[in-house]
Amino acid sequence: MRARRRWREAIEGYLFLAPALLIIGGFHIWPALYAFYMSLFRWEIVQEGFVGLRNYERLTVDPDFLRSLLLTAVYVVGTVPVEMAVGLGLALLLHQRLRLRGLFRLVYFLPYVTSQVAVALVWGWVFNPSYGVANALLAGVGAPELRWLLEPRGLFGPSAPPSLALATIMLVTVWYYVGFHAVVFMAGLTAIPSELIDAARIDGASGLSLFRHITFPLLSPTTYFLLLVATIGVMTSFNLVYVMGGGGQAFGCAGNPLGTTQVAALYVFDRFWCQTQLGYASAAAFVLGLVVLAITAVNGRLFSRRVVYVG
Amino acid sequence: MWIFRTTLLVAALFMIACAGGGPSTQQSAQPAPGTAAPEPQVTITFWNGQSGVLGDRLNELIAKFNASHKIQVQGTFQGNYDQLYQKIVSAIQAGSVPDMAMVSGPPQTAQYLKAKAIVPVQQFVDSPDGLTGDQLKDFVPALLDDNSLPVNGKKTLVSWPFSKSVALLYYNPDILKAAGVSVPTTWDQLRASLKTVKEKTAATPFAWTPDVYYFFLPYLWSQGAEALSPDLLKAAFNTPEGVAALQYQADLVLTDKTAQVTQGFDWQNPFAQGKVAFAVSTSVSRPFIEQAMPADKKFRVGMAPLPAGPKGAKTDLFGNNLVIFAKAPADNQRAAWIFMKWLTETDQTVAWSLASGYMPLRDSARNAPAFKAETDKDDRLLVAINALKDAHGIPGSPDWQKIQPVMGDAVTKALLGQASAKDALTEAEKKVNDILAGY
Amino acid sequence: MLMATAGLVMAFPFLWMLLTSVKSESEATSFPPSIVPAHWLLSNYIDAWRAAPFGRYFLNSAIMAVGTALLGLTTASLGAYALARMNVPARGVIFATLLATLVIPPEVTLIPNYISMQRLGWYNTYLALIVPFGASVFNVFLLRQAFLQLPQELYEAAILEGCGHLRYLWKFALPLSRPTLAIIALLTAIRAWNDFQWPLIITDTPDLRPIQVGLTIFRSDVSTNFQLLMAGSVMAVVPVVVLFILTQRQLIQGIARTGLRG
Repeated sequence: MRARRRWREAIEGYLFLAPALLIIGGFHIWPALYAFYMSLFRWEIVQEGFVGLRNYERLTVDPDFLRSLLLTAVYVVGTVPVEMAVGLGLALLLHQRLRLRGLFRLVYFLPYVTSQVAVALVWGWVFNPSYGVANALLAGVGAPELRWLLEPRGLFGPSAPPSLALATIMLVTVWYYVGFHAVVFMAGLTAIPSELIDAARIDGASGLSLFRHITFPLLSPTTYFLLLVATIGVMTSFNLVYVMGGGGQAFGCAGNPLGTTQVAALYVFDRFWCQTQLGYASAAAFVLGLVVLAITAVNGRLFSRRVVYVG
Repeated sequence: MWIFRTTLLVAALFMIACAGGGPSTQQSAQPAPGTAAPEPQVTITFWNGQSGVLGDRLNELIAKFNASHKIQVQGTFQGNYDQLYQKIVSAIQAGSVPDMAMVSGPPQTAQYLKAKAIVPVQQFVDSPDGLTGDQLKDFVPALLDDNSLPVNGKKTLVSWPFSKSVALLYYNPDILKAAGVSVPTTWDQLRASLKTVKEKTAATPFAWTPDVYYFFLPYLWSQGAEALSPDLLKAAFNTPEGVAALQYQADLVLTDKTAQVTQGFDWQNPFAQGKVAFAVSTSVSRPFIEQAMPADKKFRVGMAPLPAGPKGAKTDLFGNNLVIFAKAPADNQRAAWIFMKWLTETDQTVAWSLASGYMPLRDSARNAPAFKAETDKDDRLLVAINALKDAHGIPGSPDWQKIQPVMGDAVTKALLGQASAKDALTEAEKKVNDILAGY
Repeated sequence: MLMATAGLVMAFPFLWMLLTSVKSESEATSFPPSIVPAHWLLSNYIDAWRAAPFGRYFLNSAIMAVGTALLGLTTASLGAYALARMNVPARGVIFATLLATLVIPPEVTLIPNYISMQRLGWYNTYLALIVPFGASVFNVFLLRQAFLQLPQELYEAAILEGCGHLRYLWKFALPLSRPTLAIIALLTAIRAWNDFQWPLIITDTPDLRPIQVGLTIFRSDVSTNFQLLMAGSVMAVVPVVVLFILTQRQLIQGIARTGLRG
């Protein structure tokens, strides 16, 4: 009797899951498996020969791919902590009763709901060396004009990443995501029970110490969530880097200048769509996926112990 | 119209004379030798990359064809060349290619050919629906070369020309006059002119977006050298000629400081605003420059062929060609060819050229009344056409899309002074040879 | 003050977009750039609108956004409920598999999906624009988290009353999770509205193309018509902004209510 009811519920459960599983399986998992299959072949425009794991072997000695992994690391380290810190700062300010709060919230969140291609075009225009606003400002204060997105020289040395071009893209990336972080942090702040804060105040905590000992620890689930989402997002999305790194320009694919903006996601795109090495690019995509997965797992491990839960 | 009819008549005569001479084709309904079978009554799909005004003009041409033929053509815009290419690559995977499409140049054609995705146009040119030797001679030879690749070791027409343009030197006649400079015709003269402009005027002497096409290849070709070996299997640019080609640009930027490096088409606007003396771009840029001119500061845009080297002037051949897909049914392939042929008949090539700014593909177009009326009004149209005989197609290697960024990086490095021309080319040569060796 | 400065920096690109969209071509590209247009060319909007069948493009984008959001809500509700409340064997395996899909770089899925669309006969149809993005692992997780936070007693009481799963889901679980549903709907719709690559590849004709694909006509291989592109982009952004303003409150609440609290 009970076994039968169990069975019935299991069947019903699968029926509930079926629509989601069908779509995710058919349009996300199946393509991934297909891509893995492609990665085992020499496959340029059409399938040529089976090469086993040769594509993966080649990746380990491909200087462009290795550089793209390094640039991804630089890109993540240079954007995620900054956008989180700024987002948290804005959230703390906005959390206080403030005039025009709704307007500010809207303005901060606006980038996140806009097409990345559109904002990348506008920013590309702002940093255009010939008639961009950025150079007009520099000229206004008498500073030498810069070549921004065209400059492959590094900030910390002629060939040390990030190049000025990548740094510019990082700036725009921070701008794009900061509002999302601010809004999520605000939500996290709202969720902190006010009794806790009041109790801490009575105990004499205030200002910075209140933040350090009460607010920040209580925000840790939010912080952890954002860190994870932002890291995955920055590692796998490529529209901003693509458009500002010269993608879609006549005669160029992406990652300009001199490949200094070619992060791993862009490398995959470049090898896949610009050079049509479908098999090789699929292999690179898999390696990138595994790296993201590993980082996610390590992140989870590191933070699961330190997260403070409320409620 | 009379030209059209005469051509048809001549074509018919030649077909009778040459009956049985051509190689056999694989059409399902093999017509009696010498006479073309009746036109197939099919609808064919044509993926193109023409949007905006050009898209409208192309659609008008298609409508005109449809009105007078049993074959119906359905043209669809599929994004710019990159996007069109991505779509065709996807379609090849799915086996759902259109009947015909635009390709941006020989490298893509070579890729499609290597993948056996397209049928060489040659078989239709040789068929009863095809063209006679004289008709073929009417096409500018550089264009036929641009559309030919080796098939089984034999030079074969694989695609068909449609919208073609060449790289040209643009100049601002007012600034040249102020500096007392005439239009340079050799590379050395250009360099000297830029210096004079710098000395005598406040204008930027030269603004351009350097890449492998703008200056490196034409300079190389003008010395009689090539980028790749004749079999397209080895890099051939790391030679004294190649070094000279790269050094020339580095000298403009680093030594003379007469050239400003821009991005994409960014040079267009300062040039249109009368702040730049010389620029280099494709022949279709003129309307865009004119459009960007401030209403109160209009000037007549000067156009000249690229400067010449010891082996004369050479220029890049840009624009797009047409291909027929192998997966299409035989009738559709034949219909696609009939449409292509029609599209490049003198009347149509003139109409398309006047509407688009691309060049007419045939010598007879120069004398067509509609075209002559325009060139009488504005002789700049002839500059591009005259340069066409010196045009050099982009190397038809299926690996060109991997090679081009490597060579582009070499140019960038030399212009930034990060590497000498020789070192930059040596590094690029090694990478290109690795790419061509495959794995 | 600090907030106002930060706000200005954040809003700057949008202001710039608006200002550029009413400049003439020569003014849009002059250096040093002018801040306030010398002549306000509102006609740019008319020109942009006329350059392509933008009315149709807007309609398609709306159909795509609403369709994807509705389908996304349905699949996420059912799936999340099963994972939260029902006794599904091999739940762990399902969970892990779903998680793994989050790290697949989207560009490699384009070609296999294109092939599937051709095989299914969905190529160049609304189905191709809507269905593949009609379920997202992220949404399922968010909603499952929301369902888990509902009091267990409510569920037990409902079951005792003879309420089936579907009825409980519809009558209680969904209404109580409204903020989360709002987030899912909004983010899914915005994603769909802003998507570019997939609609370009999977549609053939203007009558199915969405607005983001339509905007490509201002960027040709020979030049970019910047002021018209900006006018078109402003038109494409406005619906998203309006939607965001209307749902702002729900959205913030939703984020607060979802799993982010741990």
